[in-house]
Amino acid sequence: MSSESANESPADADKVLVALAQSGDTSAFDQLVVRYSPRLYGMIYHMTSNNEDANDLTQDVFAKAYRSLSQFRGRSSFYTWIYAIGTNMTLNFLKKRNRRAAWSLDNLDSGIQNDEAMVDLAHAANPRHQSDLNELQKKLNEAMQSLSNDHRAVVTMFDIQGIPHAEISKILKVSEGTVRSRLFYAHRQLQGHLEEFIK
Amino acid sequence: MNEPEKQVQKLIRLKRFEEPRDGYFVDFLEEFRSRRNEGETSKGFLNSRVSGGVDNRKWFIGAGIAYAALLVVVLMWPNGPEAKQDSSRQPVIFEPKQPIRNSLTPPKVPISIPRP
Repeated sequence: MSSESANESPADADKVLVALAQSGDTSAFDQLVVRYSPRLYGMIYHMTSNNEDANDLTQDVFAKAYRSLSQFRGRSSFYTWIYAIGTNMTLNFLKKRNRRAAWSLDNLDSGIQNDEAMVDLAHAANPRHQSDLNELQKKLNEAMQSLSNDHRAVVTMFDIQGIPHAEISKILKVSEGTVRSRLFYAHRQLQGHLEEFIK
Repeated sequence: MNEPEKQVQKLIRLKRFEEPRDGYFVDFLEEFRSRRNEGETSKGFLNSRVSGGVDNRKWFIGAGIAYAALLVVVLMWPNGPEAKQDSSRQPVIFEPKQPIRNSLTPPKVPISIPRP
């Protein structure tokens, strides 16, 4: 099945796939998994800072979406809908986890230090402090984990994933003003934690 | 947005490069498919892993309370379980000290019955 023609927008392609999946086409749902698992996994990983939790939680999000697909009426895009499921499940999980083994830095991508883009960006972001990337990565994780779950969610979606304010407000079901205000306070808090890298 | 805030954003954006290993999402889809085929999408991976210990503890506490309540009921039951089995007991006969007032005695105040 061709999921996306040349003129079709991603949202239109999603509608077609959702309609097919609702009629029982499991391969159509698989295509939605392929399309959204990297972004959802990324969001959940940056919220939990743990690969194993991110994997299991992303599986659970798709399982829940699969079970609830018949209730999806298309009032929002599939992307917003599944992101809202993912965010709610992650926030609930984080409440339960209650700081259990908060973050694991040992299982992050080991090739990150050799990633040219990462090295260039680290250099560009911080030309005076070309310190060990491991140290920077550790500090970034610590800074992220110091934020409240709600603040970490907006930083993850806006700063790391590049989702616009309006979309985040739909996903989190809060006003755009709340999104902006959470970002403002989160940035201020992160500034304190990353002071040594931004001087 | 001030300069330090921009720098914070640049640093945080570096986290975009933290990605899982190559081929991870292929395996992810396979895992999802096999769970769906086995009908396991109704079970949560995380709920069982994260709250499993808490749930077990709840079960133990609940079972303990239920057992204790049952024990109290058995002990507090009038005369205990042998009450039904004691056939030597005679039935209790109620003998009133005063004569029971006849409920059919007409009231002292006459009742007027409206005629149709």
